[in-house]
Amino acid sequence: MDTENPALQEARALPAPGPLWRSRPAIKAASFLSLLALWWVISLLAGEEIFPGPLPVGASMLEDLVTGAGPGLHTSPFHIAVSLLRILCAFAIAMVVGSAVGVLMGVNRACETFLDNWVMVGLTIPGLCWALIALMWFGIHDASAVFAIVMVCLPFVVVNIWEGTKAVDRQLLDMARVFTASRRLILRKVIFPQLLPYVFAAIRYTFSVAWKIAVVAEVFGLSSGVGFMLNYWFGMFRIDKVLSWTATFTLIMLVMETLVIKKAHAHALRWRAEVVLS
Amino acid sequence: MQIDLENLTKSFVHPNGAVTQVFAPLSLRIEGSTFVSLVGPSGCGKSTLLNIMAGLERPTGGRVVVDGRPVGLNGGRRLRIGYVFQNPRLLNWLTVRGNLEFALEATGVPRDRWDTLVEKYIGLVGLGGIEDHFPLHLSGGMQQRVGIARALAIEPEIVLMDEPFSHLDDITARRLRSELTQIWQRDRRTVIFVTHDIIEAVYLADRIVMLTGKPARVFHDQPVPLPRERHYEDRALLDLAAELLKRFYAHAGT
Repeated sequence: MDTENPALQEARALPAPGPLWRSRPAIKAASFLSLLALWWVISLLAGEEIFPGPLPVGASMLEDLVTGAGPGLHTSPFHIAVSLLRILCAFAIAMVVGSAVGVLMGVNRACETFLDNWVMVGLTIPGLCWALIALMWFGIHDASAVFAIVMVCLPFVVVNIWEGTKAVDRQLLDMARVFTASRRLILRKVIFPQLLPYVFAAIRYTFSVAWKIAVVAEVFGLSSGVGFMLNYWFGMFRIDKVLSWTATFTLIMLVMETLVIKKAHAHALRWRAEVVLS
Repeated sequence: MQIDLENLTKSFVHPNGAVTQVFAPLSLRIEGSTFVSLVGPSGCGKSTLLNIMAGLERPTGGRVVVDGRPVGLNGGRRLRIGYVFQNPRLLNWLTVRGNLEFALEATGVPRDRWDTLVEKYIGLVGLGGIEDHFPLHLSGGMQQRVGIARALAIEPEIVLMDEPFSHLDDITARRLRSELTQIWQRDRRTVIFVTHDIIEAVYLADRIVMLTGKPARVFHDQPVPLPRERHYEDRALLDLAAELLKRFYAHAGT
């Protein structure tokens, strides 16, 4: 067919990029380096004993990779894997259950009225309380961490999906009905894509909260995971180790956020307007 | 094909108990393969009429009969309807092709015919080469072309069009009207085109049905004997539009 549509050629002629030092990657790199520099300067002023700089902390991170400490003498990959497993497990449960409840609340008036207050209560209870309660109920067990994370994340997922369900465009539903689309087709092609931005908002928020709760639960009562190691080194009063474990886990979460979640987000929502053909 | 609207009524009950009648029982016969324009002021129930034909709304009384058989959701014959909306109502997360395929899948067209139909109707509305673009990357006029292609791709028995060009700038709207006329002349499907623009109606239609009043009723039924291809500057076209406008104001003034 007519592949040389003039509108297409126009769209290909995107605006020329600006100078290199103003490009997004350059600014991002500068931002990251400034943070390291700031850390280094403060550590110089405060003294290594109180606030170790990036270099000793980096060295400590490398040491933890190969040298185990604490009961079982596990190295950092083991503890990180344990924490991530708890987080992902809880994250999956919170997303599935939260989405179901959120859709139900968006669709059914009675459910909405009934569950509204529950969600508000859930949003208000501090994560720390859930961690303590979970440890008293389940004891020193993975279930404690998972339960605490689920309870903290669930209300956020519910609120997001609930909002998304209510925002579904009725005009598009009517369109689908005129073309006699089946329920399944409507769900798949009309409703789910409209929920997707809300699902992503829930994922990003949940993911960032989940690891904080995991660490809290591990500090208080588990015998493995990043939180446990933080508590262990806190007991030894080793500030360099506390910082290096914090840095390691923060780095891993940031990498997962930018490489996995952001990429998936950009791909799923690539239909949004940037260039308009005319 | 012959479509009969028989004594249609539609009433809305307001929260305070008041009842609004949209139609004074409305009856209308539409012959197949004609381009009929429903003209009337905003809020006169034109869209409600289309929605009843499309099965989106149920009439309070009366029925729609096609070739002697009543049409309806329960039991009756389900019409194969291509609907072009005022806003294109495209699924923005699907490509142009995906949007057409959505309609084809929804209406149960076998999968092996999709490629042929998509290619044919995308080409017909002049969007060849744009199949794999997303709607939000297209201009309003192009989006509405996709809407038209989607309605035609399912090879409908009736095409319902609800002020499809009212949101477009005048130049784009004129071009699309001219294209619509050319497309229509190829296969002469039954088209019911709702508009409040009398010149648009005269330019496009074989027959103009004017609705007015609350509740709405047909107050004038006008054949348009002008030959095609028509031109906006055509004396006869402008005269007919002026006469219809005069009739409308004479009626509304009383």
